[in-house]
Amino acid sequence: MAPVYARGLALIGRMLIPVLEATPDTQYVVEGGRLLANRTVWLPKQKRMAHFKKPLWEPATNYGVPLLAALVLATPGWSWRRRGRALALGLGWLTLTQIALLLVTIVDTQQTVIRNTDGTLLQVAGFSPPTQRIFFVLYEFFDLMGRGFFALLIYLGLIAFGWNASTVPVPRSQAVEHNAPSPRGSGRKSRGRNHKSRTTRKKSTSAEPGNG
Amino acid sequence: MKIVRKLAVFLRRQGDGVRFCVLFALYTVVVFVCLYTAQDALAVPLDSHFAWITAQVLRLVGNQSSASGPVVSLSHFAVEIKNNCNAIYEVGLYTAAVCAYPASWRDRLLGMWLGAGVLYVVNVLRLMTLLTVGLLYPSWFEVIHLYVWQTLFLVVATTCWIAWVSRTRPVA
Repeated sequence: MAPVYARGLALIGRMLIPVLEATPDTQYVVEGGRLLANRTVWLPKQKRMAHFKKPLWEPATNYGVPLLAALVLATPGWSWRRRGRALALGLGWLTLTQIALLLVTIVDTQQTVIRNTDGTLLQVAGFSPPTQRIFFVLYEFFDLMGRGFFALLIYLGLIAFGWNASTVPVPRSQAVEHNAPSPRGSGRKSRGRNHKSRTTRKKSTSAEPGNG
Repeated sequence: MKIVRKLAVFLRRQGDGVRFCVLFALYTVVVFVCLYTAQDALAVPLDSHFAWITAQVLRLVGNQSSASGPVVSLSHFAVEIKNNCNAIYEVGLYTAAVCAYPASWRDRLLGMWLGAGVLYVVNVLRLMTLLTVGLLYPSWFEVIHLYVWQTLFLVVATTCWIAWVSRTRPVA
């Protein structure tokens, strides 16, 4: 799956080359499952162009997809339909994080200092120190989160989306038992959780079509 | 207009879920910034502590082990504990998840301490197994280190959170 995923990311990256790349003739290529940037830099002393490759995305360090898939499929109490929906939604969100990681990496790798053959140091894009710092921290964040942390974040989010008034479990100690005193303090006995009151039954009957 | 109405219905129905997700993402960023800023002050002593405790436990079970700063060795194999091996970011993420859940602060503190304790013990286990694998099956070390244990560790963090949530009464 990694080459397919990398090709998809490369497609998005290629569209943004004019905006993100300081060297417009940069090419994004997929080798194995890795996405690499082929950049060209002008060496003023040697008066020639130098080519170098920088890895932009590596499947080995971004394994959130199998982790998220395993967590979703192994979740007990979810129907297969819900698992399928959660997986689709989760992978969509995870892909968004991967796109964000790619964009940050594209900018960050242009700040990396390259040592030339004669010992001089080169930088593809000359960003200001605060911008460099911001992108470095952003890269560190995405790099760390890519190691399964995003998958965990999304998985817990998917669990949270199952919460609503009807599905929040009530601790057994708080549930009203059959024939127990009414929790509202009226003194009457409770009819239990599954009992349908007469008025509700009446309303539901009248709501049926054709009953006038 | 229809989309806005649909969004409003969705937010009304999934209000708790949306709130949790937003808070969790926010707390994760806050935790990352805090840990990243305090990295040198926190990570270096923690790395040395993990090296020391791992060596002590390995000696307790009859192995020749020693620790020197963040380096721990078993027989003739040694590893250096670095920033991502001291579990602070995993504990941070777990703490963010606990704080984002609508529970009382008493429950949250209890959850944080218990979860951090479990992750601490699991991290010592991780270091012990990594040393053993490195000594006996060196070719498997990277796979176990980067994939197996990293994944297992996150699964443990998830399990801790689910276990805590299932025993915690939500507060409106």
